[in-house]
Amino acid sequence: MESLTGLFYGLGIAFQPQNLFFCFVGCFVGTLVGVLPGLGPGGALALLLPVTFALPPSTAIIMLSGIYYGAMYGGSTTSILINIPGEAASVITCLDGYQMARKGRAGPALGMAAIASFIAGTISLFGLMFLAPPFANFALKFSSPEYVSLIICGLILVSFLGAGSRLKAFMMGTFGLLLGTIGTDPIEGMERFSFGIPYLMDGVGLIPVIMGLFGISEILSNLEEEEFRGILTEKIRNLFPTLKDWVDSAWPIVRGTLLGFFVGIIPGGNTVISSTMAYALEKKISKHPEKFGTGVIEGVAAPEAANNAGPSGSFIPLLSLGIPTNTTMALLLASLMIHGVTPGPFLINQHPDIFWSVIASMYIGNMMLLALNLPLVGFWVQVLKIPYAYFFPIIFLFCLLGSYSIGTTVFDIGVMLFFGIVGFLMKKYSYESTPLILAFILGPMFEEHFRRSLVLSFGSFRIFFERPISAIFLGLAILLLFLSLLPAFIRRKKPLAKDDRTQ
Amino acid sequence: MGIGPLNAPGPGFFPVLVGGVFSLLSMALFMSTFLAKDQLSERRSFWKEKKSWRKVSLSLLSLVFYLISLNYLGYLITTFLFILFLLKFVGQRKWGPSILIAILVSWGSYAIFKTGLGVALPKGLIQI
Repeated sequence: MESLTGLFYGLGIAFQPQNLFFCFVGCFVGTLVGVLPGLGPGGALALLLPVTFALPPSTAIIMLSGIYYGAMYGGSTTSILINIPGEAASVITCLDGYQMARKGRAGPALGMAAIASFIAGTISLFGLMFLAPPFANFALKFSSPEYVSLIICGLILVSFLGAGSRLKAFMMGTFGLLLGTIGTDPIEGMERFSFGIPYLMDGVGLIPVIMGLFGISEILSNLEEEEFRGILTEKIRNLFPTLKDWVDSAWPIVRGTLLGFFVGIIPGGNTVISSTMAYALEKKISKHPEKFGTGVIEGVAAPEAANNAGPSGSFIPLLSLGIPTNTTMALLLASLMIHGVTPGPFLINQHPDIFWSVIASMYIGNMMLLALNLPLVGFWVQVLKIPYAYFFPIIFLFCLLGSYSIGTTVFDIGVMLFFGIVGFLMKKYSYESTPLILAFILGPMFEEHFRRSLVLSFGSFRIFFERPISAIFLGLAILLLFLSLLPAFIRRKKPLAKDDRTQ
Repeated sequence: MGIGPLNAPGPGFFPVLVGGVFSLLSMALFMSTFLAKDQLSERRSFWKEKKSWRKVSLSLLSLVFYLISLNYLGYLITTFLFILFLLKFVGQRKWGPSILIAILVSWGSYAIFKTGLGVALPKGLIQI
């Protein structure tokens, strides 16, 4: 079987000392980032992106993905211990995890969270391993029109699934596309929107934008909060769940894994959505739904499984199609592009070393993370006691260094600052950043395919509908647009009704 | 910068198209907010807490300082001052630990990034 030979090939690369080391670094940083509230995997990936420049591409991706799924392990620690989520996807784990801790069952909760994460992570990797090559084969049939429709569909889907106003999310996506046009035109090489500034000739720097949007704005938002003083309930005793816990959690873990994996494949399907869905599902089909929220182990196992299966799922579109489905994947795409690797259906054939070593290292990473999160929990508890004041200057410095080191120019620091402020304001006024960054990264690619499609079709837009695959994607996109518009019509009717009554 | 005919779109095509969509969406947003303004319940203040603006603006100022001074003072000094300022005035730590950590961070990061990873860091007018 192609997948198994690939896996063994990948393991050979993944076990090289350099890759093992950076896999561990990624998992360690990921857990750290997950444990510390206020910094999520997106920000951490952005910060460490410049560090990976000197590394070979497979090593870079190995480390960065370690941070991603590592954060999904670490996030549950604070959720359970102090009812504060370490990162967004762990919010759901607070519900029952913290209650379990209050009843003195923090140990089993932490233990089951780590074990569920491990099982989900490992099983979902099988899904990735066996589904990615066929997906890539399918995508080989894609030509420019299919990519156009796929990207449109993806961007609309991402905006659709986001929290908050969809109109604003669409606007952010459009804005991202516009930002991407700054610089040199992808087909003819004309300068656009650069206003004669030489630094803008290659476009707005991707790294400064990411640093600003995710790093700086994140810290600025955090600085607003009063520093939390979490009181840990008690010493954590045994970490092992009881036999009853195992039995209760078995099916929730399976369901959570499946849910998380498939939600991860969808553009815009992030781990927050999948963990929430997993919890809701367990509650609905449970024989004792009223107990949810008081400290049931299924309420910890299912969301934790879902948020660890998600990363494997979201790797599929990236590795087989070259399309990122969420912010973290977008950053990984950026990393690949910086290393001169263009992801797409050809990735498996042209760079099998990257493809298979990343998958293989994820197996290794999950095992490292199990060790990091079970016996070493005490270490993370100590880390939590360090005040935020010591962390954020260093994070700022990383952002500054990262932006500066690209072009060795202060201009990029300025860009980063600008987007830091923009990102901060966006958070204040509820504008989503995910569509922006995705559209910004995909913009040039999108434009190139779009213009090529029009050349292919001699100027007709029908080409997007005549080709079957493209038509399906576009149909889905139009359906989503229609669904987004519906609430607007329903809402407008209500004020009229109120006016009638008051008059 | 031409938009070009439809069968050979020029560099102006995409920006005009996307820009057009963006304008439409903005108008839609403007109108929907305008129509719903009677439904807005309370006025939420911009800052989460009263004192928040100090920390945020001080941090922003320090970042601008960094931006301006980096090429004049060089990496080591600028970073040292930057970290010190943040630790002392935004994080409100005491002088002792702040100075110590500022030194550690600036020298440590210099070692890791310049020597370890080979990043070019500015020397400033004083050539440090």
